[in-house]
Amino acid sequence: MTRFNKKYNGIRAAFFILIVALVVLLVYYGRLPEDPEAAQSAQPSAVASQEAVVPPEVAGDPSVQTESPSPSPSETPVSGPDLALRDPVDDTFFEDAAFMGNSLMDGFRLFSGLTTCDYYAATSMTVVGATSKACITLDNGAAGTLVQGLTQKPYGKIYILLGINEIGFDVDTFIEYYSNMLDSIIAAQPDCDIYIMGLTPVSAAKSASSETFNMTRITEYNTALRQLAADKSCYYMDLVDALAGEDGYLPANETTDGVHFSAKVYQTWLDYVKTHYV
Amino acid sequence: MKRVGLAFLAFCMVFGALTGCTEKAKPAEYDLEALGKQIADSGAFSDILSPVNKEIAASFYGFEDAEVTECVEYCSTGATTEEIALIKCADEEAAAKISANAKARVETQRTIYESYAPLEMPKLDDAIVTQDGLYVFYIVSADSAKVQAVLDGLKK
Repeated sequence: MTRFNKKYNGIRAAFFILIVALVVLLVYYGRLPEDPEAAQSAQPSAVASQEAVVPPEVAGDPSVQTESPSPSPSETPVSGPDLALRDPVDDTFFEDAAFMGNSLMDGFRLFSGLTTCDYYAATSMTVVGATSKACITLDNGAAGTLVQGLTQKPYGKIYILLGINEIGFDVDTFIEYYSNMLDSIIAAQPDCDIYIMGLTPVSAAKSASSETFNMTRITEYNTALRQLAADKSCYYMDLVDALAGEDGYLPANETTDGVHFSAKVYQTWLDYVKTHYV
Repeated sequence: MKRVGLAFLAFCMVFGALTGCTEKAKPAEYDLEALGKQIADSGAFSDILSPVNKEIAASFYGFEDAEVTECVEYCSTGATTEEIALIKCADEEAAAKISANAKARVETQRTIYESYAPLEMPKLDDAIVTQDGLYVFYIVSADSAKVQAVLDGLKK
């Protein structure tokens, strides 16, 4: 072997080592910036399932509860404040739940048969009255408002049905009142899933004969309530979809005044609540 | 012979009277399920009535489970104050308490509905709230005469 050949082989070996070193460095430094994200996505299934139950509008809000308490075997994604049909839960699901509302919610207490939860309901109740009218007896024996009742102890789920008694209000005013009420509930129950129930349907006869109790107004209110649910990181329950007949109205044979309804409709409502949750 | 006949007649009259007195003093017993259905079907109601459980009745009439041995309760849709509550109490003390609570319920309903549904006021004016031994009845209807006719029919 000539001296030139020896020198050539040495250069070739050094070049090879340099190339290998470069490749190692490139691989090392190329991956380094991805490592923190890779660490964060170390539980991809958990993150995915959490995001699935949080409305996209509020997914970045750290105040929003992101853990799904669902005992359901199905994992249907939630889109916005809306709730998809899921496998029914049993009554134990509602052991940490409170239902608040007007006479229709009181009817739910009477006829649904659901007894594992707490109820805070009163005839003729409004969103303003829920924070100002002392109409219930609190656990400490004092008179209190419905919202004070709701904040006596921690709840995992709160269902609210209010609005039909103030349907004559301007929608923006109604939503402003509702928003203020929600803020006080959220402040007291920050880790709670809040379900805003839309107004229930009225009968076709009622809708045709009333300036206020009609499906046009109810749809207007419900559209605003759904948006409020999205804005406040709450969930929206479409009770018109749940309770109306194929014609979009409350079935005439299930009501006497066109607004309140029979025990049969409450059972349908319960079925809806049991199959729409997070 | 004539004397014997008169004596026998007198005996029968006295015995019959005494027997009648004894039967009159016997505490009333009602088949509450049947009575509730009879009242609900009497045509006295304008609203749809549906049965609810004892726990709901307890929330209206403020009783503990042990204080009531039997209870039949029908509620309206909420559009009206119409209601049927037929309660058999465990003892006289419970009956007196629940009877008082039933009377108070009339006033509570009046307060709730007087601005919400003023047309309900005459029904509350005609509310039937009675106590018969261990039984307490609270019935609000659109036609209390029809309900009273059913109750009167039980005494014949």
